[in-house]
Amino acid sequence: MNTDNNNLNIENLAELAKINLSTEELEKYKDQIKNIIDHFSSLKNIETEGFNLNYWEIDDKKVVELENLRTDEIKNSFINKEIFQNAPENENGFFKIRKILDR
Amino acid sequence: MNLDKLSAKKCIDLIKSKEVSVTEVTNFFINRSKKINNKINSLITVCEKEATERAKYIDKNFEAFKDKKLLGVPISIKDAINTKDILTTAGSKILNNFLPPKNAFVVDKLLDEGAIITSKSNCDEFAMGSSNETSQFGPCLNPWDLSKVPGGSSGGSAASVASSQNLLSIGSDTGGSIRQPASLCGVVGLKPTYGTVSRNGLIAFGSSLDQIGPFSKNVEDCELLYNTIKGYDSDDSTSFKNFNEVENTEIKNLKIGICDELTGEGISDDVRNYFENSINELKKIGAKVENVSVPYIKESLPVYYLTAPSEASSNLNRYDGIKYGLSDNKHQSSWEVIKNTRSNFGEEVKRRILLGTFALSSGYYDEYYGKAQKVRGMIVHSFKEVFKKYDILISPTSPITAFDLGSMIDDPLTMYQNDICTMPANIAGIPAISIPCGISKGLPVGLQIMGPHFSDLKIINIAKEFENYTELNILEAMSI
Repeated sequence: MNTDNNNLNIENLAELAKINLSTEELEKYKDQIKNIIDHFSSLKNIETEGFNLNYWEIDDKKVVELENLRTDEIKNSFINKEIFQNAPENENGFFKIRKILDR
Repeated sequence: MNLDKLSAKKCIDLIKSKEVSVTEVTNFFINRSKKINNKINSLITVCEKEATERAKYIDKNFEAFKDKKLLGVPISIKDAINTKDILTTAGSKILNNFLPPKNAFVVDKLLDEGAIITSKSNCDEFAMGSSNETSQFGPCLNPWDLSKVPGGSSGGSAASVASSQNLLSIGSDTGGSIRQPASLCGVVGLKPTYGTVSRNGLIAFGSSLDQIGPFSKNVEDCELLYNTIKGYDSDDSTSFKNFNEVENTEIKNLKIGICDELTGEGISDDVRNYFENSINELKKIGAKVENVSVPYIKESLPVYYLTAPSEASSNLNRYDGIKYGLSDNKHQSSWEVIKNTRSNFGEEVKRRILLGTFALSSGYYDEYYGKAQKVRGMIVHSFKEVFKKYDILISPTSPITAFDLGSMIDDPLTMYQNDICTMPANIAGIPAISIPCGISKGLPVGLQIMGPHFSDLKIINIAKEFENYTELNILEAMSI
């Protein structure tokens, strides 16, 4: 696991995560994250051949009914005022943002 | 009247018998917070106006409230849990102006049952930490010793109950964030079975691990608070509609496993001595206690630190400076607004977002996140097998007692080891409780009891019997 971490591309990760990082932060995180990932390389040696999705199941005798999907029904939702009460900028019932595309 | 020494149960009895009004109780605890909070920074917001208005309302309409489960009890809510129109920050600058439009499910339940929300408690930023030092509102200090941390991430909840600024608190536990601070502050903390308490309104960190749960001064109060907040919620798709609780068993009829992997290397002598005392007490009561190995449980640390940051990197994507929260919007393009806003996350949060982004990224997904989920399944399976032979498992809650402020904050890997005993319960979704089992060199030590899914009330009852038998009331030694 630890061999390919040498070229851990922290700039790319920051870009994917949409966070601006300073040069010092990039350096610091690069070392730390490499260390953390190396430390977790023990997982590589765990044999998971026998892994079975049933392992996740909770004893079904105890769960009488697990309602994961509710039926569609009309319910009260937030009103616009509540939605926008925390918005940095809004106008005419829309969030206001800076331009996304250059013309 | 010395209300600060009361349990929540006793406080409710006094209010019920009209020996004291809800307003008097509320004022007493708000005033106490005004004095104590300056010293330990356990609360981000004291809700004086809302609390006193609510108290007056309940006093005025006493007949309608007199049979409520939490009549007039002062409670703090971790600041990562939404309270309508009351500042909710999750310990982050990113939410330093956030007024939730709606209460969390548990908050509505508490208000329905007559509780008074007196404050919002300090926590690690987005609940990521084990010392409350990553809070962007400053660290919370341990009321037993102001040079020590209270644990985390729900450090403010634990410290506020230990210092009697409120009689109960609600926290959240993703890898130990209720139990570890409960242990370090000498109070009781429960992480319920995943799915028995709704997460609706909890600011999401690691959704498959997060669980809301109670803090209290004794086990009876823990039971009262757990019974108040549990229940089905159609707005949380992982909430159980119906389930059968595991039946209670007296300690003398119990078969208890001492979890080998959580009692070996790394446990300090302070903790080990009191843990061994507890084993002897349980044997004296008549329990059959044996050592047992839980295969794969040692892999909980890597499994946790690949799973939780992955989920966090996805959950925290919503903080973009557009819909709510902090916005660095002086830039020309939306991408720059988003990236500059998000650079305001604290150091630990950024580290975990990057780690999670790595574990989920193309080319690494199967090797890291995917592998971690398989090993997680092996851990769940191990617990199920062990619980066929044993009623409960025990371990220390934290390998060490409260540590010095600043001693680990620059060393993430060492900090992560603090949750070594608590993470397995989150990974398997099982309930676990931490109760005080002694004071070593002036600092509390906690005992952890883990049980199979839906044994919440069973482990609470075992903890209660243990507490009654040992007659430990360590908070009597609290002097702040």
